[in-house]
Amino acid sequence: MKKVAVIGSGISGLSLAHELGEAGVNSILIETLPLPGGNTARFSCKATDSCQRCGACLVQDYVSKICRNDRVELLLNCEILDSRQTAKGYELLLHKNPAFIDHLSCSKCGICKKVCPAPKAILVDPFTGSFFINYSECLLSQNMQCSACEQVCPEQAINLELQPIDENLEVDAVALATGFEAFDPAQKPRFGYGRVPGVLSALDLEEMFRNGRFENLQENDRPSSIAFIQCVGSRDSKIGRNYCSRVCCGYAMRSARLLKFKFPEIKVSMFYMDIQTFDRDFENRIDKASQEVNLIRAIPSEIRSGPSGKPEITYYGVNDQVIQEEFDLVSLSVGMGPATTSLAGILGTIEPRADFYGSNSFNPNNPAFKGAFLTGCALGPKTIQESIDDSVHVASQIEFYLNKQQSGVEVE
Amino acid sequence: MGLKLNSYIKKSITITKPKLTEDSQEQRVLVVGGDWIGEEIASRLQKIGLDVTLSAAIATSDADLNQSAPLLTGPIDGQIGQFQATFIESDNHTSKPFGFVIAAQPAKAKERFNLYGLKQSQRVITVSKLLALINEGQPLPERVGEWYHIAFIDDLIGDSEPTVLSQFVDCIERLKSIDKLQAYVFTRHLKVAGPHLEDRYRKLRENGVIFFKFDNNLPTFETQSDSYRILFEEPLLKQDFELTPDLLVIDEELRPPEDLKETFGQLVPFEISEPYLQTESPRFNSVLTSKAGVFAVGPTRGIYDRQSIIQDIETVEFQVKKILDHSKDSRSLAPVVDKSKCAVCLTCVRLCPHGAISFSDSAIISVPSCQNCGICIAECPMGAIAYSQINQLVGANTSNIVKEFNFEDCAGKIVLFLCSRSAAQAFKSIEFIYKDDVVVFEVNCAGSLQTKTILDALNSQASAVLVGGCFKGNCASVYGNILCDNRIQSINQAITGLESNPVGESGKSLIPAGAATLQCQEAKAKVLRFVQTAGNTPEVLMRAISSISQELSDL
Repeated sequence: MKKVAVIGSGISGLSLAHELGEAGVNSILIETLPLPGGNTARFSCKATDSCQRCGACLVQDYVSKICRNDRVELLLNCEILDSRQTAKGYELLLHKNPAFIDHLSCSKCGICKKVCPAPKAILVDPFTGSFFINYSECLLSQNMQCSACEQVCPEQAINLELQPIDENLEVDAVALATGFEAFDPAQKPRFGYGRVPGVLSALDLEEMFRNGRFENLQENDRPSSIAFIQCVGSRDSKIGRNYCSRVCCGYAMRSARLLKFKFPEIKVSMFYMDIQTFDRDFENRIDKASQEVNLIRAIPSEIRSGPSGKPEITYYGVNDQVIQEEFDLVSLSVGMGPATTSLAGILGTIEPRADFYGSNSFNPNNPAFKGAFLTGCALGPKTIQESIDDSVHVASQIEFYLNKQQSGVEVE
Repeated sequence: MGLKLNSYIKKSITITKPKLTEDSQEQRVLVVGGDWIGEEIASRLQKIGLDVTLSAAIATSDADLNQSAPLLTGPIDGQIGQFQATFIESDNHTSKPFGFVIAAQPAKAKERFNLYGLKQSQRVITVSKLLALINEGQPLPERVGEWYHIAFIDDLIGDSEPTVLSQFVDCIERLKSIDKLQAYVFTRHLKVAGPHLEDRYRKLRENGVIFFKFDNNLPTFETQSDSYRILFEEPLLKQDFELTPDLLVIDEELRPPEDLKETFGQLVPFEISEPYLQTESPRFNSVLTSKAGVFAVGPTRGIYDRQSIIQDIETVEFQVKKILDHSKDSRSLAPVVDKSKCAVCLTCVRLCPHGAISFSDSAIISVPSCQNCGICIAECPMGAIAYSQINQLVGANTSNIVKEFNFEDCAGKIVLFLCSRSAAQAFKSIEFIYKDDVVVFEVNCAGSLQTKTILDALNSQASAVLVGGCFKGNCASVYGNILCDNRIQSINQAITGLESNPVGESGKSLIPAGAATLQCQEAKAKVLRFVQTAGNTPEVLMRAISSISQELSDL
């Protein structure tokens, strides 16, 4: 029976594994983190009184589809230590970390998270409310002694004695669905990220949406103004990113609409170079958006703490005059970069690429990469729906490749 | 040990793909095309041994009739495995059956001369005309001065696509060999969100192509012999300039093909997806439409760039093959119609979002087209449609979806009916908070919830009823959530006595008169609410539950 390893369980990996299953191909979906969903799971639903087609809800849909699909095996907490090409396909050396929490006993009380000394070691699955130990952040992984969670668990659902297992896996093909890494805005110090209170990255804003933190604010604490700064880490030759991240304008527009829906009084400004709205969601979009959002064609020269302690944006206005304006919140629309978790480490033969579009040498027809495929944001910035489209397409390529292999014909 | 997480334990499900019907024409495929897209699909499907008919869209002009390809003469109708299409082919009208239908018409490129107040001429042309001239090696209009000035107008009014910018970039890159060429691009927003486009744009700028980006003061055009003079304020220098280009190239607006409604209107709920063939819900991904066996490629679903269209073409081949290879299991999940009860009122025919129901002396549900949403069951005024036994069997073993409702243990609790695709997912993460206060029933789609079931819940000892469905525009059954919301509004009106008899979307009474009013007004629980939510918005569901609790304590 032919088997495919799909690496990465973000929306691309999930939908690829699902599509392969539908086409009768078995796959193993490998994820380093203890929970599936990847980057997409970090995004919040943008529905106002109707769906805005962001696609964030689809992750969960695919997770439940995967769980019902007999042809997909989901391996969480699993790293790939090494890989090599074989006559048949690829051999991967897997390092399977144990799931220390038994979810049948866990009552989701969350006491373990409260006592854990490492901030990121215990994660909560936003979908199920279950708790997970992220071994790479756990003190145990740094050879320190700690069993705080195990001792405190009222259900005795945690067993830290469990040991990782190393295992070889032979597959006929490998699909990299390693996604993207969000640009770290601290690399652009002039935007004040990490220094100026109130300056958030888009992902921080997502977390606020997801945790309902806006709703929980008292009337007086609710933001009355927010600025979105576009192209932070995109279209920037100084940092070697000569490409547009494609999704951020649509993202900022949706977020703006959601904020306007939640707080009709809020003033939303958007600093941009060119607005990239296309796609059917945004018909007659710019003219419509300009009625809701104050569109400013400028990239701020500096963001610092203003006189009242709020972030103050300095930028050049249309007549070259210097304008300084304070906002309650500033959201930096961070761009997408290739995942640095090193494709090289995953498949020894593949070189890490400087940027998404930099190298076209990766091609499954190239014998060096025979039986290896890329899908979703590993290929370049994509929306959630585009990533799914891509995965359906790659599933068809993989199926074609495996059929050719079966019939003994070499794929040219 | 412990490698598989318990919260992601699989529930084994037997995939029951219905077999296409006995007289199925599954090997025959109709491709409605018009350019390279249709031709490419046809040739690929022919290569895998299918019998392909490539047709142009519905004939609209005499010029069309002179084409050699068969022309459709009316809308396509039918179900997967047995679509029917009528053609005119060398003056003969013929009707042919097909297994699959693929919509692959070319994009409609709308010229924008009028939008800018310009007239087409030898020196004023569209970008696709210029590309055609370059491709055919035709000469461009002669230069007037020493330098050859080409001005490109992109997205000055309205909205553009990265595909259009890439056409401009193609043109400029390919005209490089012209001696003393100066190219200008007048735009508002450069749509660089395509592969390599930002890079190519930057290279052009470094090589002397001048890009003007306007915000307000848009350029104006003045007639100048056989061309135009462009008058504008340079956005950075704030100085007035004028330019009389040797060639003025205008962008086009890319739109889906215009004959989708005429051709496919019988197959998909086009009034909802208009102007595209694919419904707006993000649940219809890739080339899938709401109708089984009908696929939307490229421009018909709003995709215009070549690379993505090629991807769609390869995907559609895969989708067809997938159905052919995996549709041998004849067990069906589709609901069944009780012929003795069916009044042939056509409510279900009209409301089935998947176009799966046709009729003769009673409603007929096409098994392979049915997506098992249950809307027909809920909407049938005669109660003539029910889940099949096999569905109940499979459902009971493999999912949480409830088919038989039992409200015995609901005393004092809030009854939740939750859509499996949204609310039920959201509830999972807050389940433990409400364990003792609610009774949960997971339904396939909120639209499948019958008025009778809701009334039964209200009349049990339950304190209130909350139905959770998808956000408007997100429903996998296109409008199941809206149908359910309407149903609940009618019941609520009957409860408060505003209206005597709840009516469905069909305008027909949902339950026999009299009984309904009585049942509603005597409903023991008076609080019935509908909430829109998504699988990842548990807080919305929580707010809905707490607002109901608030209402109950206020009563």
